[in-house]
Amino acid sequence: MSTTPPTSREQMPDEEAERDDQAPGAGGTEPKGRRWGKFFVSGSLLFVCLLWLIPTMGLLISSLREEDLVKTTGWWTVLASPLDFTQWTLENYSEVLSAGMANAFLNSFVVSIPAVIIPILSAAFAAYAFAWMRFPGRETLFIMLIALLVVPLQVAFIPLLQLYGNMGLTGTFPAVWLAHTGFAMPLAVYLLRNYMGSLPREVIESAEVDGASHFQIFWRLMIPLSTPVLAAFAILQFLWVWNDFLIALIFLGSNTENQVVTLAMNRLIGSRGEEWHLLTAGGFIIISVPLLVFFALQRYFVRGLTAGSVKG
Amino acid sequence: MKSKFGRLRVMAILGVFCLLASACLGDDSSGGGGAVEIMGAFVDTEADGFEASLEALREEVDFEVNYNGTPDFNTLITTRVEGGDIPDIALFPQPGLLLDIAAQTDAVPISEFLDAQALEESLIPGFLDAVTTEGGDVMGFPMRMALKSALWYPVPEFEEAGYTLPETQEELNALEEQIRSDGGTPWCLGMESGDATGWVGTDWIEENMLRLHGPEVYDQWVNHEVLFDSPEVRAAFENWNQLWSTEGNVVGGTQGMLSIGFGDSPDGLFDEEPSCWLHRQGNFITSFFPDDVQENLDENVGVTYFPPDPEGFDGSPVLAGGDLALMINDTPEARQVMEFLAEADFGGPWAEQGGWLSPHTGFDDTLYPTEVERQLYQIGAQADVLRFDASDSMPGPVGTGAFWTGIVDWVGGQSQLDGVLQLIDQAWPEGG
Amino acid sequence: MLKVLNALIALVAGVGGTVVLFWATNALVERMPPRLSNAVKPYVFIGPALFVVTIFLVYPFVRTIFISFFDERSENFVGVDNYVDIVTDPALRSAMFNNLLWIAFVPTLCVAIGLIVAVLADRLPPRAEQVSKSIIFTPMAISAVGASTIWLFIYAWRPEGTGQIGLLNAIWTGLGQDPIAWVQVSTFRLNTFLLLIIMIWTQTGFAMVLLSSAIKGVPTDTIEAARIDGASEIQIFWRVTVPQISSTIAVVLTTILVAVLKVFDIVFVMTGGNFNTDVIANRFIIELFDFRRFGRAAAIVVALVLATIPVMVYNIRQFREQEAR
Repeated sequence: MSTTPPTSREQMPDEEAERDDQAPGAGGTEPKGRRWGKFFVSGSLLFVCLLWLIPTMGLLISSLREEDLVKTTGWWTVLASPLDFTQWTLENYSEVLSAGMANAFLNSFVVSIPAVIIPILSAAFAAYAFAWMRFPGRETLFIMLIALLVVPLQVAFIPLLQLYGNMGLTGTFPAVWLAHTGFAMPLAVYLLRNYMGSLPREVIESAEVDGASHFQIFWRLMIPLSTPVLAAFAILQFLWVWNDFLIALIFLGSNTENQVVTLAMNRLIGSRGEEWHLLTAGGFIIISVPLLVFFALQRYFVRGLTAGSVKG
Repeated sequence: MKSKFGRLRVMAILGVFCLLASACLGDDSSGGGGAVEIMGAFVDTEADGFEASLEALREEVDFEVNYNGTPDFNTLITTRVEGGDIPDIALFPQPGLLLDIAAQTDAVPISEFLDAQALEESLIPGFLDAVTTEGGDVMGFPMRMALKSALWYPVPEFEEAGYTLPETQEELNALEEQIRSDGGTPWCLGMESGDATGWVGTDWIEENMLRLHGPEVYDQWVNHEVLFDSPEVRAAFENWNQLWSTEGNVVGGTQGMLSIGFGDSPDGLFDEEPSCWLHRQGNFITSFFPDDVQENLDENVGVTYFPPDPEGFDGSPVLAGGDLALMINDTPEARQVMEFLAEADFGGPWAEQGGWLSPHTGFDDTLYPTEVERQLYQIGAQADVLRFDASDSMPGPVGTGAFWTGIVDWVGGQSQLDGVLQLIDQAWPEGG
Repeated sequence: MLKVLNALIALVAGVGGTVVLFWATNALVERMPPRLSNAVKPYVFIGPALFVVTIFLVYPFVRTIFISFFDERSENFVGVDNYVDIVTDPALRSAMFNNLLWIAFVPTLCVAIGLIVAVLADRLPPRAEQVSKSIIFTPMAISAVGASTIWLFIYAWRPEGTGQIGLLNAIWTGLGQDPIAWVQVSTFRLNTFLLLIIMIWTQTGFAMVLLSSAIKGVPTDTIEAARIDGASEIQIFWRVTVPQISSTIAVVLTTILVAVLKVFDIVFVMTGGNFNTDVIANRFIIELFDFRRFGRAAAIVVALVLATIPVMVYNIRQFREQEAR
């Protein structure tokens, strides 16, 4: 790891500072038009954010109300008297959490982490090859991959169960990891290749001149340069795996020990949906983790980019 | 170079070990040989009741009996059977699917391992018809009854208002009129049920088919020997149409029927001043009642046999559903479990827990925790004839397809009755 | 505790196994003679990806094509009957029309709103930028079923005179109108639009994240140069920014388009495909699991894949253009 890649991270502070001056700081130079512009920017953004926030607010508030109230009055009515604590309750949350969710949470992590890392790693290698190596069949194989984007994964369930059945994999974690890896691969390769292909040719060529092998270029140059897209895809894949219900149902459903949160939630809500008020609380418990992941990874794709996408 | 090779080998061995180790994990809970896996559609408290009932069996036998319930039974059973990952015994909510899976697998008729004759006599008459193949083989049997011909009303308000329970269609019509003239709304009727919206309506049609024309015509209808576009079926549709097209007869009108969740709809019975007075639904609806009502069922709600129509079929038929057991893997252990499930007194602990009705006529009804459940059971046990939910026996494209959507389009006003009936007939698979 | 340990081993083993796999095969290839090594190496790089894709998608899809020419239980060859059936099925035709609406509106609106947010947020102080982006992104983290539940609180209907629990009807009745069961209104396919708003709500975050990254990659000097030339901000946006992020826009459009083609859960939860809101992917699920007509379900999938040929052609052209640079 001797070569320091021209990554984003080192350049970061300047980059950030530059941006800061550029937009809001520039307000003073052109008094009138700019100020109105600023109003417009903040105002319209505020509007969109509000629109986006309303439904989530509804869920959050509903999750803190009693079942009977949720069914009879609108959630916004609490806004009239938010300090009336008799209308709030944590019962929905305690009920969900007491129903064996801890085990399910653990399982969800065990399913999600490898199901994110394995496809990213395999896809990054493939994307690099598609972007920067020349070999027979390259175009055909890539076209095939894109075409597979649209195949609904449901078609794979039956043949895969047959295969897993023969190998004794049904109900195990690797069964789910591999399934997620396979299903995510076309999108992963597609997104990563598009990004890697847009990186400046000179960087790779100069590294080749220095005698670096593809393997070295990949690890020391390509991976750091692609941090933003890797982070973006990691988040997407994590969200998808964490929220996935169908794949977990088919490949883990027969093994109650290995239940993930979505399956546990589904059992809790019941076969005829009679406990649907729990869905509001359960919904928030389930999304808390993906949101944390998003906040944690957010800086990578916001900051990292500038170095990567300088057009060659 | 040398060291690199050494490292490579270590890593390779490590890698193989890793993959093997991870492949073994989680496999340990799938049970040893001889274990019997039962798969079913009920979960949560219902699954607890079933587990409690299985205890007696577990004490007797030396193999494991595992119940695996999933709300997505249909999806999972289809995939697992196709994928060769087959549970030993499956409990089907729908006889159509049971027969389908039975035909697709090596399932054997119950007469191979049970005294089918004795079982037939012990069960409420008519139950086994639903799981009999065209060739006359009985493939499964019920291990739970869902009684659908039930009319619910609020207690004590009903009596205070001076209403009396109707015993015929005519009395029912008179009661509706009386409620309306008192300024009330007679029916709580909500059909919304997500992707399954429509089944509440098909249940009504089935009830009417049975009440108006009797079991024989009903069976012909299920087998498509009587078309949807026939005077008999049309009469059943129109009878129900009268109920909801009468102004002020149903809470929220047709818009309400399609928007109100079927589970929420009976809530109106329990309002301070009932916002609706009558509800027709199966026994399982009690689990949707508000908590305070469930805690004290007998004092809040009354139930009675849904009034027959003396001008129609002469007798007291009952519409029901249930969970039907099918042995897919024929092993000695699975046979033992099936024998246990078929016993006339199976389900005692489940009955005591509530929410479960026995499909056998001789079940000890003192086990039921509430009067309401005892009454429901007796409605079933005393019926002349029982018929299984028709839509569950019809081919999928009709029973869970055109019949449902046809009803929804008709109630919603998107289609006329003629068009709906013809469309349902067209959806019937050829040769069916 | 044992459970946690087990989980940890599973985790390390799964991830470690994959890393080792790549590392080991590469080490092996590098020990080959240079010429052979160079020829083999690309396949080592794409090998694992191709391998899983072959097992998890190619093989099942080929099998699906095969099944689509057989009857419902895959026993007798029926030629193109299934395809004839699906084009004549009125339910499916209505679903296709709805899918067209989804295709026309969801990807474009997601990209448009995502772009606006990305551009505007870029001009805010970092903290405000992060907060606003997080708000737009949050719905992405919610599963489709969860999202649909949330929107039930928007579109819900209660009888006239009782308290409305749906926001839309609360506003509507506040204006003195009778409550409307919104998802049942199929006039001008209003309900389909209401459902596709849910998807826009969830997917805009995805568009925004990728587009925002791309916008930040646009070199500031090109923007400054335009500014000095006296271009307005709007002109700069259209003539400088958009052309430079066009490939990202294309990728985002394609990705969302593919997601739209496969959408079924929103419809499944909200209306179950009733009231003329059905979509093709939901028909597929119904045919497969409810009707158990495997042949017809397979034919729907094949038709769906065929429908994306134009998108694929476009992407392949992009691919070649990028190569030619």
